[in-house]
Amino acid sequence: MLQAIGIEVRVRTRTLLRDVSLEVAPGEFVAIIGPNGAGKSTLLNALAGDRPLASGEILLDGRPFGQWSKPELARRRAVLPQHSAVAFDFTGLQIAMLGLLAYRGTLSERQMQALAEQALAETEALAFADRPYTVLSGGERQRIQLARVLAQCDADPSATPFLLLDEPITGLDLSHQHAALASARRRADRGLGVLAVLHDLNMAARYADRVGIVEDGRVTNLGPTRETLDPERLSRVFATPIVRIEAGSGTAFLSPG
Amino acid sequence: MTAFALRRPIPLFALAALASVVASLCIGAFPVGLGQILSALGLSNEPLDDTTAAVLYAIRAPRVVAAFAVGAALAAGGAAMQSLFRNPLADPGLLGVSSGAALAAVSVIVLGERVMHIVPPELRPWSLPVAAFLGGLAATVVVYRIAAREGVTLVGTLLLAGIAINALTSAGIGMLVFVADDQQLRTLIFWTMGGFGSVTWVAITPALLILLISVPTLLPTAHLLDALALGEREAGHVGVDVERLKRRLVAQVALAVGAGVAISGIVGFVGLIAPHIVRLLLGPSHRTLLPAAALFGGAFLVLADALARTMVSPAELPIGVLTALVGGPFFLWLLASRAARGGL
Repeated sequence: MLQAIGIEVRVRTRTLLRDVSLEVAPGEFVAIIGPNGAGKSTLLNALAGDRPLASGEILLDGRPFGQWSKPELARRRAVLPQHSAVAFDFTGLQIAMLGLLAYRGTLSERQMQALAEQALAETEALAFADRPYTVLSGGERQRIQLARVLAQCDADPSATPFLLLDEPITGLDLSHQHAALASARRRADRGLGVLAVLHDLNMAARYADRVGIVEDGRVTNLGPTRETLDPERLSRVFATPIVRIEAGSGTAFLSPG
Repeated sequence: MTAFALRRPIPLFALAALASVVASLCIGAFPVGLGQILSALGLSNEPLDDTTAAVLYAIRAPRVVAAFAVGAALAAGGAAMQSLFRNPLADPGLLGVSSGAALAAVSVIVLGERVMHIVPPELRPWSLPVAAFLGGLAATVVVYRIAAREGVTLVGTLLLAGIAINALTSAGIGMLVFVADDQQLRTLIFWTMGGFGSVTWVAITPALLILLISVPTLLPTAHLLDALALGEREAGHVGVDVERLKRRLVAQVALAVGAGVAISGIVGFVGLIAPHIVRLLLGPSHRTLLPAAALFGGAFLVLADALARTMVSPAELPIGVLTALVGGPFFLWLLASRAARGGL
């Protein structure tokens, strides 16, 4: 279980998150949505352990973050940040293998390469994995980074780590957007806890078990996907009319009205 | 590149470094044959006269060993700094680490007599490398504090901070010029231009010991240095204790560069050139970069020193002048090519 309990995050005098409580259980996919600047990424960073808390605490498996060593944490959760610049001309395969750093000593070089290649194949990035990261396009880079965190999650098949994704599909084409979220979904079905910041409401509707809405530094709604993604509520949150269009056979689309 | 060189590059680099060492032992005002070197090592029965033996043991060998050690330290230290700052332009010389170390070393030479009597005689040979370490450490910490904000290095700020530190230290050395006597003045100038002319076994032993500890121990951090390329936060996510790694790197770089400066004074650009060329040949992975750059940097300085002492013989060129002649244009080319790619 990954839990935030009444956390508050402040930068100088500005409060970015106030009194936020949220938990991600193993086996579920939680999507975080909300307007720009509402604090979605801050929340994800706090859950990753990257933000000093003004109050409250983050517990992973019941233990506060401060009590985990970095390698222990790396075996229990993987994080895909929003922007990733890589220094020097590392190849995609080298970057994907860096996701397995905490398993050096447990896994052989060959096993690590196999895991990385498997993850790169899953994100359809194997074809350009031998090229330097710096020459790749934005979408290609994103798929390399996604493969890195997927490899990190898969390194120990008996473990169910938490996977934190900050806007994982921004910059991807439509088919890779679905492929990326399907990868996360499969891991949730295998028992991992997934938390993803998403902008696409329909993607959230399709892949998430629960949705949290962040507004002005607070989680204002958190519940089952279909209930939370209520057109009336979304219209208010995003200050733009949003309607639900039923497409038959049980599917529906959320669209600006 | 052959497949052999790509898969097993380190033995190849080691061989080239060994060749440069042997060549440098042979070259000089007093030529020594390859057979004589082999018999000095006990590998050949060729007769070795006393003069040749003296030249080899007392003059050339310490010089070649010192040049190799300093070159290796600057190159490995440069590679580690570049990883820490996530930028290939980070060089101990450009960022003022070398000159910070030199200022501290020169201060000991000029002002040290007044306090040296409180230091036990057996510890006095250590005063120079220790002072150089502290000077280099201070410079590294200042540059890092100024240029790195929340794990992101601002390259412009980084290089400007280096300029400021270099300006400060040359002002400091300028002040010391005024209080120095003639003998000290000569040492002072040697320190700012760099050279291996006054190397003896006794003088370099403390610094060599520091290098033997601080340089090879960079190797086990290779995978952590690779992870730093992802960004500090991301390195933390894959299991690196980034704060601890940074403290360790800063200390080791200051030790390596400080000990190097204590032996040879300021020798610029080795930490920039060697890692860059190795990255072009073998890629950025630190498991190959660190040893290959160290071997390359060592061989580079050994050959540069051989040039420095033979080009204008019987006089000697300061080796820092030679490395700057190569390194200056190299740095300009690096700046131009990075600017053309859209950023430093």
